[in-house]
Amino acid sequence: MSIQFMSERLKQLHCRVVELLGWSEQAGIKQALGYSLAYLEGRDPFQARAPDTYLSPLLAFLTDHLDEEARLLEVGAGTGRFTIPLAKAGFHVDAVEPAATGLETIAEKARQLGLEDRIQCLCGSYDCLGDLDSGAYDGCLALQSIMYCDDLDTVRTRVAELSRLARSVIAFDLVSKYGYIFAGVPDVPATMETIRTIYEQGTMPGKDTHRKERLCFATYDQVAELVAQSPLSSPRMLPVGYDMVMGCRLPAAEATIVDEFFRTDPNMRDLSMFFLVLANSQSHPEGGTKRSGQVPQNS
Amino acid sequence: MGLPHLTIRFIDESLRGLGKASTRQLQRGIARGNWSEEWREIARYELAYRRCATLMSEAEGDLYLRRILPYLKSTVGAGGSVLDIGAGAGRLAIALARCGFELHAIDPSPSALCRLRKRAVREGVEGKLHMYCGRACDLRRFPDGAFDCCLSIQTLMYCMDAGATRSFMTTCVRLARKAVCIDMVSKYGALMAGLEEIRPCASDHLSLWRCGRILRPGGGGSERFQCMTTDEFRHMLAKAGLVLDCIAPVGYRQVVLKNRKGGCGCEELEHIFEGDPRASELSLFILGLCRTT
Repeated sequence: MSIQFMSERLKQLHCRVVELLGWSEQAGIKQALGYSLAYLEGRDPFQARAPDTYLSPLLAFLTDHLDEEARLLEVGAGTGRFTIPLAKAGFHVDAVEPAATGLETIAEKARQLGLEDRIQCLCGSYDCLGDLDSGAYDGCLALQSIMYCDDLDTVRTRVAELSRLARSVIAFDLVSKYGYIFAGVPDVPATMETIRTIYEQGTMPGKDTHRKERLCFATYDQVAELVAQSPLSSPRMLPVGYDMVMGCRLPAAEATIVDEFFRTDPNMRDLSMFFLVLANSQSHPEGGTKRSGQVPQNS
Repeated sequence: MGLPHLTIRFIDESLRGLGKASTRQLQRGIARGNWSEEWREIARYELAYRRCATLMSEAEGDLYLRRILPYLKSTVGAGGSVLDIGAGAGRLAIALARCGFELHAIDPSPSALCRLRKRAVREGVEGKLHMYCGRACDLRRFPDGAFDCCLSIQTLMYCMDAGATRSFMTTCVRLARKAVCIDMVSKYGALMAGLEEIRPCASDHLSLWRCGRILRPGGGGSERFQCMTTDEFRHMLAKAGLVLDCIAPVGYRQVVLKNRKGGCGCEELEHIFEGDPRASELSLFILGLCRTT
């Protein structure tokens, strides 16, 4: 049975949608398409996911290790959740994001805040980083982005790539496996299949037909192992976002207190929502702009 | 149709008055604050049992029974006597009586025991059931080794200080000839469960984490409870002179599925996490199955 189109415009729309979906499937960029639409509608799915408590340890780490004018590469910039505060802190940020509509939002925000000369918007994904020169940046950041892949091997490759590009420091995060299972995340269907898959395989099958995201999870020990195998030195692993797992979003100040407290308990470390990794890049022995400050070892 | 002869023995006469008090009187007593904290707690339970048939869901009861039943069959043997401390409306007591155990149920709430009695008659196990209305302190009236097993499910956590916990444990060990089945709220489970008792504020979470206690009363049922890590619980049982045969996580569902829509079986979760020490800290309750020496 075929569909009869009563309007030529709707028919054209349908043809374009089919073409677009088919093309994005082949090109493997369905995710970018989904985010493009979300950003276009003014939604930022990451806004609800990333805890506010990322920013203070991240900024403290970067200002400790880099000069104010340092160049940063941020992969998966979204709508500038981290880009804008980093630029405000004086850094020059190259924001890489596969969804151009997110970059348009960043550009608009930058214009309003007079930060245009500090932010450069690059539409791309992890696949495009190979074209960039080694050691082109003082620091590379991948927040809420590196985990959108199939497995930890891909994460390892991405960390190595970021490490190649960064002269001095890198920062990235991963989702905690136990944190996610116990978090009661509203967008995860509570089927045994989902929970079992996340628990046993450490990945989540694509749940949204538009975004088709795949998410890779890790335990604290797995992240520690991944970091140890990567070209990173003096890594520091911070569990972040306990309040998200506890099912209550605390105000940023309170969430910071909870994060700092629970961090001291080794039994609690698998129970945060994310692990934020802050480390020195070993790939470039000449180092970055401030070599004096080594990252303190995680106690 | 009248109930057959099945009496509730009031060990504590003052509890008879609690059963006769009107709902309004109890609400006023709780609100005014001139009753002791223990009495307010008991009154809250009395009110809760007047409202609902049982405070423990069938699924939750099944999780406990899955662990307790085989253990009792092997250590106590069918027909053995079991004292169910804090039996409530008898979610566990009835099931155990049905399996042939001689059940002695004690609870401070007369309404809970009335519900238990009705249930026993419905299930045809009234001949296996003895009911006592009393508080934890009334347990001292039973002689040493009066029962084969002491079952204390979701009661020990309401002992609010170390002294009360110690004396409760001593009593359990004294009364049980063969086995003690007892549980505690898991500290990490409670922290992660998003319990409605804990307000979304940092200080409550930190106080639970630091002192293992929630001290603020309110709402229906009891909201003051203590919790322990598995190691702390293990240590407490050993200190009471019990030989721990098995420690079992109970109730991942409340922790894992707190904000999720859609149902899934509780038991399946226990299977998924079976044998994972990191996950076992994350059930809401820890159940200890022990022998007396």
